[in-house]
Amino acid sequence: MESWIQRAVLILAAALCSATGLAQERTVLDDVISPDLERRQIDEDKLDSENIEIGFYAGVLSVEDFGSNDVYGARLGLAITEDFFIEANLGTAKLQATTFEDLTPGVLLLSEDDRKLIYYNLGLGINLFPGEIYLGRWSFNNNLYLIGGAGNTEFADTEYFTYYFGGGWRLFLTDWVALRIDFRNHVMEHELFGEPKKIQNLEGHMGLTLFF
Amino acid sequence: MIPFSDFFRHRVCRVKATARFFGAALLCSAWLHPAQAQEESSSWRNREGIVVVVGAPFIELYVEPGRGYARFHAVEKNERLRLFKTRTDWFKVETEDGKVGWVPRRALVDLYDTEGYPLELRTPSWKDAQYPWQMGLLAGEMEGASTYTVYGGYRFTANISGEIKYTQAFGDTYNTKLGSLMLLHQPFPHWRASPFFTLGAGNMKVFRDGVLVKAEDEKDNAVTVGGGLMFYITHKVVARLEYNQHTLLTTRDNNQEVEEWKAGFSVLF
Repeated sequence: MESWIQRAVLILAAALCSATGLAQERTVLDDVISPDLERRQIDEDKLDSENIEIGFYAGVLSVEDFGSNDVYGARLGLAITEDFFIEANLGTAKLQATTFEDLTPGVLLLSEDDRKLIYYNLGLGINLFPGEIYLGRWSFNNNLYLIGGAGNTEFADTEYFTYYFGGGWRLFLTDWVALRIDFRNHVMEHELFGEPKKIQNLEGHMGLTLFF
Repeated sequence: MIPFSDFFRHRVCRVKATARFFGAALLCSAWLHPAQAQEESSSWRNREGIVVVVGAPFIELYVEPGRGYARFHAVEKNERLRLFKTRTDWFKVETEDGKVGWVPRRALVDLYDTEGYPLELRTPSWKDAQYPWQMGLLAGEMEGASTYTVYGGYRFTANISGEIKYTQAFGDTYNTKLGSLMLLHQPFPHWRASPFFTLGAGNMKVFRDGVLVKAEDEKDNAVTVGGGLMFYITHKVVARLEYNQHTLLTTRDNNQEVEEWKAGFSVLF
């Protein structure tokens, strides 16, 4: 029992001694070797950041029953990490007549105004297979990506909830200009012809984007 | 292989090199060459960006900003780097001998400035989510209809933010649009999973599907209470789960209550 207490007291004393010894040693050495250096922060705001992507595109949007139509749009994106980005799109197209309208003279299901389609959406993309490609002696950065999101499609005086998924290719011409080619499927449900009908609308477009 | 983005730079370098050659030939005779060399290095330092001195044994330069790209050069201890551009967590740098490449944030430790002071490039964690502005997207369900919400927010204090929300619900036979102004309270803003309560008011419009029934569109004021959970994924991205109860102040005898669940994410800036 006695030896146990003795041992404990000795260990405690030793620990205290070494602790104070260490502490003393550190403060003394600190003063001699490493004076209190001010740590400076790097101000990242001074650097040009290129995380925002802005661009325009043109392509073809096929709207089920309404043919394939020219589509024009704009996009605004933000690179969150090297893998993920978010993107907002706004596009517009003028729809053609349905086959029924074409075959039945005098029948028009939609007015000219109602044939104007506008969509806007927000999606999350993931960059896949980044790499360099070579053209002659030049190398270009490029990657594929998958993207999916949801938004709104407006035509025939009604708004439809639309989700989309697709993929594309981003080819960097320089650090801040990229060529984009996208294929997307916009899925929505409408009741224009009486019964609810789920339709898939394929879109292919190509455009340029700038990074800011 | 030369990255195409460096095409113009190489051109410029070639022109510069030619100019430098003639310049040097002229100046050499006048014994001014050392002065010119000094001038050059100071111009390197004075160009746009931040000059750092490498303290780690070495830092590798990547050809493009991504973890899988080829590493083509190593900058050694005590050499200088000029940081001049960022993309996500990558920094574009130039060495003193003109090599340009990308360096990940995680490699930029142990840096010194040109006066020998240690420099800190902090990797922001979720705790640095102190940005005042917020923009987000939520998707969910309101009385059987699928909805989405776009919102923007501003943080007045650590606990209290204001938000403008626009919600659209797509039901089988109707379309609902709800714009509201919300006040949001986070009792524990420093928790990573931070609960919040909201209180707000707005205006809800219900558009009946014109093809099926010729019903009147409705427009009512709405009062909203709700709550939810925010989870800080990074210092810039927040995931959010939210429940709202809207009370529509209708012109009928009874007010109508609408419940809404939604989930989504927002970006801070």
